[in-house]
Amino acid sequence: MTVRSRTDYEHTLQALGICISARIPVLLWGAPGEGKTAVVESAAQQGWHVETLIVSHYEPSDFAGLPVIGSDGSVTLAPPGWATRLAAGDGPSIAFFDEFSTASPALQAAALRPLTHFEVGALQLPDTVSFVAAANPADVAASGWELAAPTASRFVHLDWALPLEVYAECLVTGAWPPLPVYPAPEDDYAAQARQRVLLSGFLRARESQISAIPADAAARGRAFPTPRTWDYATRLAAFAAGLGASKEVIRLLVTGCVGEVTAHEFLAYAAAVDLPDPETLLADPHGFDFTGVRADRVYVILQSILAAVARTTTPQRWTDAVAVCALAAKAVGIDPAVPVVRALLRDGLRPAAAALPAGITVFAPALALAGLLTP
Amino acid sequence: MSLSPSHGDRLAAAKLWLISTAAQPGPDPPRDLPYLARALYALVPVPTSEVPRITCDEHWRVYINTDWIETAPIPAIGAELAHLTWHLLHDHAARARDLRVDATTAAHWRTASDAAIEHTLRADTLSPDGLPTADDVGLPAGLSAEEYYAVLSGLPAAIGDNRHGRLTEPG
Repeated sequence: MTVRSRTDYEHTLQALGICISARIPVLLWGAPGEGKTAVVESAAQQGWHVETLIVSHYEPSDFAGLPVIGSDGSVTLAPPGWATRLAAGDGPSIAFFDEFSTASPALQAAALRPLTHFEVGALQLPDTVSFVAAANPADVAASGWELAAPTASRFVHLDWALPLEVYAECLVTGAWPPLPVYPAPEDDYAAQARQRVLLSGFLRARESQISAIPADAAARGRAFPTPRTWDYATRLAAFAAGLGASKEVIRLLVTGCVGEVTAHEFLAYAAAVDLPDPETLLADPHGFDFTGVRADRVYVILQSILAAVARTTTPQRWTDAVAVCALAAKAVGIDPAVPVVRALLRDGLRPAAAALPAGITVFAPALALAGLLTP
Repeated sequence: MSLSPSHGDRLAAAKLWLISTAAQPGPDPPRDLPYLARALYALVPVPTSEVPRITCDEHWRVYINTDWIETAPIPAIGAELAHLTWHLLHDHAARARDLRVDATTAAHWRTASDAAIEHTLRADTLSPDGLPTADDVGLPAGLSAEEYYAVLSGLPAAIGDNRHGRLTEPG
Protein backbone atom coordinates (compact mmCIF):
# COMPACT_ATOMS: atom_id res chain seq x y z
CA MET A 1 0.00 0.00 0.00
CA THR A 2 1.26 3.44 -0.83
CA VAL A 3 1.69 5.86 2.06
CA ARG A 4 -0.20 8.96 0.94
CA SER A 5 -1.52 10.71 4.05
CA ARG A 6 -0.68 11.37 7.66
CA THR A 7 -2.99 8.52 8.69
CA ASP A 8 -1.22 6.07 6.35
CA TYR A 9 2.11 7.25 7.76
CA GLU A 10 1.03 6.76 11.37
CA HIS A 11 -0.31 3.28 10.59
CA THR A 12 2.92 2.29 8.87
CA LEU A 13 4.98 3.69 11.72
CA GLN A 14 2.96 1.71 14.25
CA ALA A 15 3.19 -1.46 12.12
CA LEU A 16 6.97 -1.02 12.00
CA GLY A 17 7.08 -0.53 15.78
CA ILE A 18 5.02 -3.68 16.30
CA CYS A 19 7.33 -5.80 14.09
CA ILE A 20 10.36 -4.52 15.99
CA SER A 21 8.70 -5.02 19.38
CA ALA A 22 7.54 -8.55 18.43
CA ARG A 23 11.10 -9.26 17.17
CA ILE A 24 10.00 -10.29 13.70
CA PRO A 25 12.35 -9.18 10.87
CA VAL A 26 10.87 -6.30 8.91
CA LEU A 27 11.91 -4.79 5.59
CA LEU A 28 11.01 -1.20 4.70
CA TRP A 29 10.60 -0.49 1.01
CA GLY A 30 10.85 3.10 -0.11
CA ALA A 31 12.51 5.57 -2.40
CA PRO A 32 15.86 7.04 -1.27
CA GLY A 33 15.75 9.99 1.11
CA GLU A 34 12.33 9.27 2.61
CA GLY A 35 13.60 8.97 6.17
CA LYS A 36 13.69 5.19 6.56
CA THR A 37 17.08 5.21 8.25
CA ALA A 38 16.23 8.19 10.46
CA VAL A 39 13.05 6.61 11.78
CA VAL A 40 14.71 3.30 12.62
CA GLU A 41 17.63 5.05 14.32
CA SER A 42 15.15 7.15 16.34
CA ALA A 43 14.57 4.04 18.48
CA ALA A 44 17.80 5.06 20.22
CA GLN A 45 15.80 7.88 21.89
CA GLN A 46 13.84 5.21 23.71
CA GLY A 47 16.87 3.47 25.05
CA TRP A 48 17.27 0.93 22.26
CA HIS A 49 20.76 0.16 20.98
CA VAL A 50 20.83 0.47 17.18
CA GLU A 51 23.61 -1.04 15.02
CA THR A 52 23.36 0.21 11.43
CA LEU A 53 25.08 -1.77 8.69
CA ILE A 54 25.23 -0.44 5.14
CA VAL A 55 24.98 -3.89 3.65
CA SER A 56 26.61 -3.01 0.34
CA HIS A 57 29.83 -2.07 2.20
CA TYR A 58 30.07 -5.53 3.71
CA GLU A 59 31.04 -8.97 2.53
CA PRO A 60 29.61 -12.37 3.44
CA SER A 61 32.15 -12.97 6.24
CA ASP A 62 30.79 -9.90 8.06
CA PHE A 63 27.62 -11.93 8.61
CA ALA A 64 28.98 -15.46 8.74
CA GLY A 65 32.05 -14.61 10.85
CA LEU A 66 35.70 -14.29 9.86
CA PRO A 67 37.67 -17.57 9.91
CA VAL A 68 40.61 -17.28 12.36
CA ILE A 69 43.12 -19.92 13.41
CA GLY A 70 43.17 -20.58 17.11
CA SER A 71 46.28 -21.48 19.16
CA ASP A 72 45.44 -25.19 18.77
CA GLY A 73 45.25 -24.87 14.98
CA SER A 74 41.45 -25.12 14.75
CA VAL A 75 39.46 -22.56 12.83
CA THR A 76 36.69 -20.56 14.47
CA LEU A 77 34.44 -17.97 12.92
CA ALA A 78 35.14 -14.76 14.75
CA PRO A 79 32.14 -12.43 15.00
CA PRO A 80 32.47 -8.88 13.62
CA GLY A 81 32.25 -5.82 15.86
CA TRP A 82 28.56 -5.05 15.23
CA ALA A 83 27.61 -8.50 16.47
CA THR A 84 29.78 -8.41 19.59
CA ARG A 85 28.35 -5.00 20.51
CA LEU A 86 24.81 -6.37 20.14
CA ALA A 87 25.68 -9.43 22.18
CA ALA A 88 27.25 -7.33 24.94
CA GLY A 89 24.13 -5.20 25.49
CA ASP A 90 21.44 -6.39 27.85
CA GLY A 91 18.66 -4.06 26.74
CA PRO A 92 16.56 -4.17 23.57
CA SER A 93 18.48 -3.58 20.37
CA ILE A 94 18.08 -3.35 16.62
CA ALA A 95 20.38 -4.72 13.95
CA PHE A 96 19.57 -2.48 11.01
CA PHE A 97 20.59 -3.69 7.53
CA ASP A 98 20.39 -0.59 5.39
CA GLU A 99 20.43 -0.57 1.56
CA PHE A 100 19.51 -4.25 1.64
CA SER A 101 18.52 -4.53 -2.02
CA THR A 102 21.99 -3.37 -3.10
CA ALA A 103 23.49 -6.46 -1.46
CA SER A 104 24.52 -9.13 -3.95
CA PRO A 105 22.60 -12.41 -3.76
CA ALA A 106 25.60 -14.05 -1.99
CA LEU A 107 25.60 -11.32 0.65
CA GLN A 108 21.82 -11.53 1.09
CA ALA A 109 22.17 -15.27 1.63
CA ALA A 110 24.89 -14.75 4.28
CA ALA A 111 22.65 -12.28 6.12
CA LEU A 112 19.89 -14.87 6.51
CA ARG A 113 21.61 -16.88 9.23
CA PRO A 114 21.61 -14.08 11.83
CA LEU A 115 18.03 -13.21 10.88
CA THR A 116 16.56 -16.61 11.58
CA HIS A 117 18.99 -18.19 14.03
CA PHE A 118 20.45 -15.15 15.82
CA GLU A 119 23.91 -16.52 15.04
CA VAL A 120 26.86 -14.57 13.70
CA GLY A 121 29.79 -16.91 13.23
CA ALA A 122 30.33 -18.63 16.56
CA LEU A 123 28.47 -15.91 18.45
CA GLN A 124 24.91 -16.33 19.66
CA LEU A 125 22.98 -13.07 19.67
CA PRO A 126 20.52 -12.53 22.53
CA ASP A 127 16.83 -12.78 21.63
CA THR A 128 16.43 -9.11 22.54
CA VAL A 129 17.78 -8.22 19.08
CA SER A 130 15.28 -7.13 16.42
CA PHE A 131 16.21 -7.14 12.75
CA VAL A 132 15.18 -4.35 10.44
CA ALA A 133 16.20 -3.89 6.84
CA ALA A 134 15.57 -1.06 4.43
CA ALA A 135 15.62 -1.29 0.67
CA ASN A 136 14.94 0.79 -2.39
CA PRO A 137 12.70 -0.90 -4.95
CA ALA A 138 15.00 -2.47 -7.57
CA ASP A 139 14.10 0.16 -10.16
CA VAL A 140 15.46 3.05 -8.06
CA ALA A 141 18.24 1.25 -6.16
CA ALA A 142 21.87 2.01 -6.93
CA SER A 143 22.76 -1.26 -8.71
CA GLY A 144 19.89 -3.18 -7.15
CA TRP A 145 18.93 -6.83 -7.13
CA GLU A 146 15.46 -8.30 -6.71
CA LEU A 147 15.30 -10.23 -3.45
CA ALA A 148 15.39 -14.01 -3.83
CA ALA A 149 12.26 -15.77 -2.58
CA PRO A 150 13.98 -17.38 0.46
CA THR A 151 15.25 -13.95 1.54
CA ALA A 152 11.93 -12.20 0.90
CA SER A 153 9.97 -14.75 2.89
CA ARG A 154 12.04 -14.04 6.02
CA PHE A 155 10.75 -10.48 6.26
CA VAL A 156 7.56 -8.58 6.83
CA HIS A 157 7.37 -6.10 3.94
CA LEU A 158 6.19 -2.57 4.63
CA ASP A 159 5.96 0.22 2.06
CA TRP A 160 7.43 3.46 3.30
CA ALA A 161 7.09 7.08 2.22
CA LEU A 162 7.12 10.48 3.85
CA PRO A 163 3.88 12.22 2.82
CA LEU A 164 3.77 15.97 2.38
CA GLU A 165 1.46 16.49 5.37
CA VAL A 166 3.99 14.96 7.75
CA TYR A 167 7.09 16.34 6.06
CA ALA A 168 5.78 19.91 5.87
CA GLU A 169 4.78 19.95 9.53
CA CYS A 170 8.00 18.41 10.79
CA LEU A 171 10.08 20.81 8.72
CA VAL A 172 8.56 23.66 10.68
CA THR A 173 8.39 22.11 14.13
CA GLY A 174 11.65 20.17 13.84
CA ALA A 175 10.03 17.34 15.80
CA TRP A 176 9.91 14.08 13.84
CA PRO A 177 7.54 11.32 14.90
CA PRO A 178 9.63 8.80 16.85
CA LEU A 179 9.39 5.06 16.35
CA PRO A 180 6.87 3.59 18.81
CA VAL A 181 8.04 0.47 20.66
CA TYR A 182 5.89 -1.67 22.94
CA PRO A 183 6.27 -4.31 25.63
CA ALA A 184 4.51 -7.57 24.73
CA PRO A 185 0.77 -7.38 25.52
CA GLU A 186 -0.28 -9.30 28.60
CA ASP A 187 -2.35 -12.09 27.08
CA ASP A 188 -0.19 -12.36 23.96
CA TYR A 189 0.01 -16.13 24.09
CA ALA A 190 -3.77 -16.57 24.24
CA ALA A 191 -4.21 -14.03 21.44
CA GLN A 192 -1.72 -15.96 19.30
CA ALA A 193 -3.63 -19.16 19.96
CA ARG A 194 -6.85 -17.46 18.77
CA GLN A 195 -5.14 -16.29 15.57
CA ARG A 196 -3.76 -19.77 14.93
CA VAL A 197 -7.21 -21.33 15.27
CA LEU A 198 -8.57 -18.80 12.75
CA LEU A 199 -5.69 -19.46 10.38
CA SER A 200 -6.13 -23.20 10.65
CA GLY A 201 -9.83 -22.86 9.78
CA PHE A 202 -9.02 -20.57 6.86
CA LEU A 203 -6.33 -22.84 5.42
CA ARG A 204 -8.53 -25.91 5.70
CA ALA A 205 -10.97 -24.15 3.40
CA ARG A 206 -8.25 -22.48 1.25
CA GLU A 207 -5.58 -25.13 1.07
CA SER A 208 -3.83 -23.51 -1.90
CA GLN A 209 -2.99 -20.49 0.28
CA ILE A 210 -0.64 -22.33 2.66
CA SER A 211 2.21 -21.71 0.29
CA ALA A 212 1.86 -19.75 -2.93
CA ILE A 213 5.16 -18.60 -4.40
CA PRO A 214 4.51 -16.03 -7.14
CA ALA A 215 5.54 -16.81 -10.70
CA ASP A 216 7.26 -13.52 -11.53
CA ALA A 217 10.60 -12.44 -10.09
CA ALA A 218 9.47 -9.04 -8.79
CA ALA A 219 6.56 -10.53 -6.82
CA ARG A 220 8.82 -13.27 -5.41
CA GLY A 221 10.92 -10.51 -3.84
CA ARG A 222 7.94 -9.26 -1.81
CA ALA A 223 5.35 -10.77 0.54
CA PHE A 224 3.71 -14.08 -0.32
CA PRO A 225 2.18 -16.88 1.76
CA THR A 226 4.44 -19.61 3.16
CA PRO A 227 4.12 -21.46 6.47
CA ARG A 228 6.79 -19.13 7.91
CA THR A 229 5.11 -15.90 6.78
CA TRP A 230 1.77 -17.22 8.09
CA ASP A 231 3.50 -17.76 11.44
CA TYR A 232 4.71 -14.14 11.34
CA ALA A 233 1.19 -13.01 10.42
CA THR A 234 -0.48 -14.76 13.36
CA ARG A 235 2.11 -13.47 15.83
CA LEU A 236 1.86 -9.90 14.57
CA ALA A 237 -1.94 -9.89 14.34
CA ALA A 238 -2.09 -11.14 17.94
CA PHE A 239 0.45 -8.57 19.14
CA ALA A 240 -1.35 -5.71 17.34
CA ALA A 241 -4.78 -6.81 18.58
CA GLY A 242 -3.37 -6.96 22.12
CA LEU A 243 -2.26 -3.33 21.82
CA GLY A 244 -5.68 -2.33 20.56
CA ALA A 245 -4.16 -1.32 17.20
CA SER A 246 -6.59 -0.36 14.45
CA LYS A 247 -7.83 -2.72 11.73
CA GLU A 248 -5.72 -0.82 9.20
CA VAL A 249 -2.53 -1.58 11.14
CA ILE A 250 -3.44 -5.26 11.39
CA ARG A 251 -4.14 -5.27 7.66
CA LEU A 252 -0.74 -3.67 6.94
CA LEU A 253 0.99 -6.30 9.05
CA VAL A 254 -0.82 -9.33 7.60
CA THR A 255 -0.41 -7.92 4.08
CA GLY A 256 3.29 -7.42 4.77
CA CYS A 257 3.59 -11.09 5.69
CA VAL A 258 1.49 -12.95 3.11
CA GLY A 259 0.71 -10.40 0.38
CA GLU A 260 -2.29 -8.21 -0.31
CA VAL A 261 -4.65 -10.69 -1.94
CA THR A 262 -4.21 -13.54 0.52
CA ALA A 263 -4.31 -11.10 3.45
CA HIS A 264 -7.62 -9.72 2.21
CA GLU A 265 -9.13 -13.21 2.04
CA PHE A 266 -7.80 -14.20 5.46
CA LEU A 267 -8.97 -11.01 7.18
CA ALA A 268 -12.41 -11.37 5.57
CA TYR A 269 -12.53 -14.94 6.84
CA ALA A 270 -11.29 -13.96 10.30
CA ALA A 271 -14.04 -11.34 10.58
CA ALA A 272 -16.89 -13.60 9.52
CA VAL A 273 -15.67 -17.24 9.81
CA ASP A 274 -17.91 -17.93 6.82
CA LEU A 275 -16.19 -20.92 5.22
CA PRO A 276 -16.99 -24.41 6.51
CA ASP A 277 -14.28 -27.05 6.91
CA PRO A 278 -14.58 -29.26 3.82
CA GLU A 279 -14.10 -32.37 5.97
CA THR A 280 -17.13 -31.42 8.07
CA LEU A 281 -19.11 -30.87 4.91
CA LEU A 282 -18.09 -34.23 3.42
CA ALA A 283 -18.95 -36.01 6.65
CA ASP A 284 -22.46 -34.54 6.56
CA PRO A 285 -23.35 -33.05 3.15
CA HIS A 286 -26.80 -31.97 4.40
CA GLY A 287 -25.34 -30.22 7.45
CA PHE A 288 -24.62 -26.98 5.55
CA ASP A 289 -27.29 -24.82 3.98
CA PHE A 290 -26.18 -23.07 0.77
CA THR A 291 -29.33 -20.93 0.66
CA GLY A 292 -28.37 -17.27 0.35
CA VAL A 293 -24.61 -18.01 0.46
CA ARG A 294 -22.73 -15.43 -1.65
CA ALA A 295 -21.35 -16.58 -4.98
CA ASP A 296 -17.69 -16.15 -4.05
CA ARG A 297 -18.15 -18.24 -0.88
CA VAL A 298 -19.92 -20.98 -2.87
CA TYR A 299 -17.03 -20.99 -5.30
CA VAL A 300 -14.30 -21.43 -2.68
CA ILE A 301 -16.36 -23.94 -0.66
CA LEU A 302 -16.83 -26.19 -3.71
CA GLN A 303 -13.16 -25.82 -4.64
CA SER A 304 -12.22 -26.87 -1.09
CA ILE A 305 -14.42 -29.97 -1.43
CA LEU A 306 -12.69 -30.86 -4.69
CA ALA A 307 -9.26 -30.37 -3.09
CA ALA A 308 -10.24 -32.48 -0.06
CA VAL A 309 -11.42 -35.37 -2.24
CA ALA A 310 -8.35 -35.14 -4.44
CA ARG A 311 -6.18 -35.33 -1.30
CA THR A 312 -7.91 -38.42 0.11
CA THR A 313 -10.08 -40.26 -2.37
CA THR A 314 -12.54 -42.92 -1.23
CA PRO A 315 -15.77 -43.98 -3.00
CA GLN A 316 -17.85 -42.56 -0.12
CA ARG A 317 -16.06 -39.18 -0.11
CA TRP A 318 -16.41 -38.93 -3.88
CA THR A 319 -20.15 -39.62 -3.72
CA ASP A 320 -20.56 -37.14 -0.87
CA ALA A 321 -18.67 -34.49 -2.83
CA VAL A 322 -21.07 -34.82 -5.77
CA ALA A 323 -23.94 -34.64 -3.28
CA VAL A 324 -22.57 -31.34 -1.87
CA CYS A 325 -22.36 -29.92 -5.41
CA ALA A 326 -25.97 -30.96 -6.05
CA LEU A 327 -27.13 -29.23 -2.86
CA ALA A 328 -25.24 -26.08 -3.81
CA ALA A 329 -26.75 -26.20 -7.32
CA LYS A 330 -30.26 -26.44 -5.92
CA ALA A 331 -29.69 -23.44 -3.67
CA VAL A 332 -27.72 -21.03 -5.86
CA GLY A 333 -28.09 -22.28 -9.44
CA ILE A 334 -26.59 -25.11 -11.43
CA ASP A 335 -23.94 -23.33 -13.46
CA PRO A 336 -21.62 -22.38 -10.54
CA ALA A 337 -21.44 -26.04 -9.47
CA VAL A 338 -20.83 -27.53 -12.92
CA PRO A 339 -17.03 -26.96 -13.02
CA VAL A 340 -16.43 -28.96 -9.82
CA VAL A 341 -18.79 -31.77 -10.90
CA ARG A 342 -16.95 -31.94 -14.23
CA ALA A 343 -13.62 -32.13 -12.41
CA LEU A 344 -14.94 -34.88 -10.14
CA LEU A 345 -16.14 -36.91 -13.14
CA ARG A 346 -12.88 -36.44 -15.02
CA ASP A 347 -9.21 -36.42 -14.16
CA GLY A 348 -9.26 -40.06 -13.03
CA LEU A 349 -10.55 -38.79 -9.70
CA ARG A 350 -13.54 -41.06 -9.45
CA PRO A 351 -12.88 -44.37 -7.66
CA ALA A 352 -14.19 -47.37 -9.60
CA ALA A 353 -16.65 -48.34 -6.89
CA ALA A 354 -18.08 -44.86 -6.30
CA ALA A 355 -21.82 -44.63 -6.86
CA LEU A 356 -23.51 -41.61 -8.43
CA PRO A 357 -25.67 -40.01 -5.75
CA ALA A 358 -29.33 -39.45 -6.57
CA GLY A 359 -28.77 -35.68 -6.46
CA ILE A 360 -26.64 -35.77 -9.61
CA THR A 361 -29.79 -35.71 -11.76
CA VAL A 362 -29.81 -31.94 -11.29
CA PHE A 363 -26.70 -31.86 -13.49
CA ALA A 364 -27.99 -34.47 -15.96
CA PRO A 365 -28.78 -32.17 -18.89
CA ALA A 366 -25.48 -30.30 -18.63
CA LEU A 367 -23.39 -33.44 -18.23
CA ALA A 368 -25.26 -35.30 -20.95
CA LEU A 369 -24.76 -32.43 -23.41
CA ALA A 370 -21.06 -32.40 -22.56
CA GLY A 371 -20.85 -36.14 -23.18
CA LEU A 372 -19.91 -36.89 -19.58
CA LEU A 373 -23.12 -38.83 -18.88
CA THR A 374 -25.67 -40.45 -21.16
CA PRO A 375 -29.33 -39.83 -20.40
CA MET B 1 2.24 -2.66 -23.44
CA SER B 2 0.76 -2.28 -20.01
CA LEU B 3 -2.03 -0.16 -18.61
CA SER B 4 -1.16 3.47 -17.83
CA PRO B 5 -0.97 4.34 -14.11
CA SER B 6 -4.27 6.26 -14.10
CA HIS B 7 -6.10 3.44 -15.90
CA GLY B 8 -4.42 0.96 -13.56
CA ASP B 9 -5.76 2.94 -10.60
CA ARG B 10 -9.31 2.75 -11.97
CA LEU B 11 -8.98 -0.99 -12.49
CA ALA B 12 -7.58 -1.39 -8.96
CA ALA B 13 -10.45 0.68 -7.55
CA ALA B 14 -12.99 -1.53 -9.33
CA LYS B 15 -11.38 -4.68 -7.90
CA LEU B 16 -11.38 -3.19 -4.40
CA TRP B 17 -15.02 -2.18 -4.83
CA LEU B 18 -15.86 -5.83 -5.56
CA ILE B 19 -13.94 -7.42 -2.69
CA SER B 20 -14.42 -4.86 0.11
CA THR B 21 -17.17 -4.29 2.63
CA ALA B 22 -18.87 -0.92 2.93
CA ALA B 23 -17.28 1.43 5.47
CA GLN B 24 -20.49 3.46 5.59
CA PRO B 25 -23.85 3.09 3.87
CA GLY B 26 -23.97 4.64 0.41
CA PRO B 27 -25.85 4.44 -2.87
CA ASP B 28 -23.63 1.85 -4.59
CA PRO B 29 -21.75 0.12 -1.76
CA PRO B 30 -18.77 -2.24 -2.26
CA ARG B 31 -19.94 -5.75 -2.99
CA ASP B 32 -18.25 -7.78 -0.23
CA LEU B 33 -16.92 -10.63 -2.39
CA PRO B 34 -13.54 -11.15 -0.66
CA TYR B 35 -12.94 -14.62 -2.05
CA LEU B 36 -13.00 -13.31 -5.62
CA ALA B 37 -9.76 -11.50 -4.78
CA ARG B 38 -7.33 -14.16 -5.96
CA ALA B 39 -9.09 -14.51 -9.30
CA LEU B 40 -9.43 -10.75 -9.84
CA TYR B 41 -5.75 -10.14 -9.12
CA ALA B 42 -4.75 -12.98 -11.43
CA LEU B 43 -6.22 -11.13 -14.43
CA VAL B 44 -3.61 -9.70 -16.80
CA PRO B 45 -4.84 -6.38 -18.23
CA VAL B 46 -4.08 -5.63 -21.88
CA PRO B 47 -4.96 -2.11 -23.10
CA THR B 48 -6.41 -2.05 -26.59
CA SER B 49 -8.69 -0.07 -28.86
CA GLU B 50 -9.96 -3.16 -30.63
CA VAL B 51 -12.76 -3.99 -28.20
CA PRO B 52 -15.64 -1.62 -27.47
CA ARG B 53 -15.38 -1.98 -23.68
CA ILE B 54 -13.73 -4.96 -22.00
CA THR B 55 -13.43 -8.66 -22.71
CA CYS B 56 -11.18 -11.60 -21.83
CA ASP B 57 -9.68 -14.77 -23.24
CA GLU B 58 -9.36 -18.10 -21.49
CA HIS B 59 -5.74 -17.39 -20.51
CA TRP B 60 -6.95 -14.74 -18.07
CA ARG B 61 -5.92 -11.81 -20.24
CA VAL B 62 -8.41 -8.97 -20.01
CA TYR B 63 -8.60 -6.66 -23.03
CA ILE B 64 -9.60 -3.18 -21.96
CA ASN B 65 -10.61 -0.29 -24.16
CA THR B 66 -8.65 2.62 -22.71
CA ASP B 67 -11.28 5.24 -23.62
CA TRP B 68 -13.95 3.18 -21.91
CA ILE B 69 -12.05 2.61 -18.64
CA GLU B 70 -11.24 6.32 -18.47
CA THR B 71 -14.89 7.34 -18.31
CA ALA B 72 -16.85 4.31 -17.07
CA PRO B 73 -18.02 4.56 -13.43
CA ILE B 74 -16.10 2.31 -11.03
CA PRO B 75 -19.17 0.13 -10.27
CA ALA B 76 -19.65 -0.43 -14.02
CA ILE B 77 -16.01 -1.52 -14.38
CA GLY B 78 -16.46 -3.74 -11.32
CA ALA B 79 -19.59 -5.34 -12.76
CA GLU B 80 -17.78 -6.13 -16.03
CA LEU B 81 -14.80 -7.58 -14.14
CA ALA B 82 -17.10 -9.79 -12.05
CA HIS B 83 -18.84 -10.93 -15.23
CA LEU B 84 -15.57 -11.87 -16.95
CA THR B 85 -14.13 -13.49 -13.82
CA TRP B 86 -17.17 -15.74 -13.44
CA HIS B 87 -16.78 -16.88 -17.06
CA LEU B 88 -13.22 -17.90 -16.22
CA LEU B 89 -14.04 -19.49 -12.86
CA HIS B 90 -16.97 -21.41 -14.33
CA ASP B 91 -14.62 -22.82 -16.94
CA HIS B 92 -16.87 -21.77 -19.80
CA ALA B 93 -14.14 -22.08 -22.43
CA ALA B 94 -13.38 -25.75 -21.67
CA ARG B 95 -17.09 -26.49 -21.38
CA ALA B 96 -17.67 -24.98 -24.82
CA ARG B 97 -15.08 -27.40 -26.24
CA ASP B 98 -16.95 -30.33 -24.66
CA LEU B 99 -20.05 -29.20 -26.55
CA ARG B 100 -18.04 -28.81 -29.76
CA VAL B 101 -19.03 -25.17 -30.04
CA ASP B 102 -17.59 -23.79 -33.28
CA ALA B 103 -17.62 -20.54 -35.19
CA THR B 104 -21.19 -21.09 -36.34
CA THR B 105 -22.53 -21.69 -32.82
CA ALA B 106 -20.18 -19.46 -30.82
CA ALA B 107 -22.78 -16.70 -30.57
CA HIS B 108 -25.25 -19.15 -29.02
CA TRP B 109 -22.67 -20.24 -26.45
CA ARG B 110 -21.90 -16.64 -25.63
CA THR B 111 -25.57 -15.91 -24.98
CA ALA B 112 -26.02 -19.17 -23.05
CA SER B 113 -23.02 -18.64 -20.76
CA ASP B 114 -23.98 -15.00 -20.20
CA ALA B 115 -27.51 -16.07 -19.24
CA ALA B 116 -26.08 -18.58 -16.75
CA ILE B 117 -23.78 -15.97 -15.21
CA GLU B 118 -26.50 -13.33 -15.12
CA HIS B 119 -28.20 -15.39 -12.40
CA THR B 120 -25.05 -15.30 -10.24
CA LEU B 121 -24.43 -11.61 -10.91
CA ARG B 122 -28.01 -10.59 -10.22
CA ALA B 123 -27.81 -11.95 -6.66
CA ASP B 124 -25.06 -9.38 -6.04
CA THR B 125 -26.73 -6.65 -8.15
CA LEU B 126 -23.80 -6.79 -10.52
CA SER B 127 -25.48 -7.44 -13.88
CA PRO B 128 -23.88 -5.24 -16.53
CA ASP B 129 -26.40 -3.52 -18.79
CA GLY B 130 -27.55 -5.57 -21.74
CA LEU B 131 -26.39 -8.97 -20.52
CA PRO B 132 -28.70 -11.73 -21.87
CA THR B 133 -30.90 -13.38 -19.22
CA ALA B 134 -32.52 -16.78 -18.90
CA ASP B 135 -35.78 -15.04 -19.78
CA ASP B 136 -34.35 -14.11 -23.17
CA VAL B 137 -33.64 -17.80 -23.79
CA GLY B 138 -37.12 -18.75 -22.57
CA LEU B 139 -35.96 -21.01 -19.73
CA PRO B 140 -36.02 -20.63 -15.95
CA ALA B 141 -33.08 -18.89 -14.26
CA GLY B 142 -30.43 -20.90 -12.43
CA LEU B 143 -29.83 -23.59 -15.07
CA SER B 144 -26.49 -24.47 -16.64
CA ALA B 145 -25.01 -22.78 -19.69
CA GLU B 146 -25.21 -26.13 -21.49
CA GLU B 147 -29.01 -26.19 -21.11
CA TYR B 148 -29.43 -22.65 -22.44
CA TYR B 149 -27.07 -23.48 -25.29
CA ALA B 150 -29.03 -26.60 -26.22
CA VAL B 151 -32.22 -24.58 -26.60
CA LEU B 152 -30.53 -21.77 -28.54
CA SER B 153 -28.76 -24.07 -30.97
CA GLY B 154 -31.60 -26.63 -31.23
CA LEU B 155 -29.62 -29.63 -29.96
CA PRO B 156 -31.72 -32.81 -29.65
CA ALA B 157 -30.84 -33.20 -25.98
CA ALA B 158 -32.77 -30.03 -25.32
CA ILE B 159 -36.03 -31.80 -26.21
CA GLY B 160 -37.83 -32.91 -23.08
CA ASP B 161 -36.57 -32.53 -19.56
CA ASN B 162 -34.50 -35.52 -18.57
CA ARG B 163 -33.68 -34.07 -15.16
CA HIS B 164 -35.74 -36.80 -13.54
CA GLY B 165 -34.84 -39.55 -15.98
CA ARG B 166 -32.45 -42.44 -15.46
CA LEU B 167 -28.81 -41.95 -16.10
CA THR B 168 -26.22 -44.25 -17.54
CA GLU B 169 -22.60 -43.47 -18.18
CA PRO B 170 -21.13 -43.42 -21.67
CA GLY B 171 -19.82 -46.88 -22.51
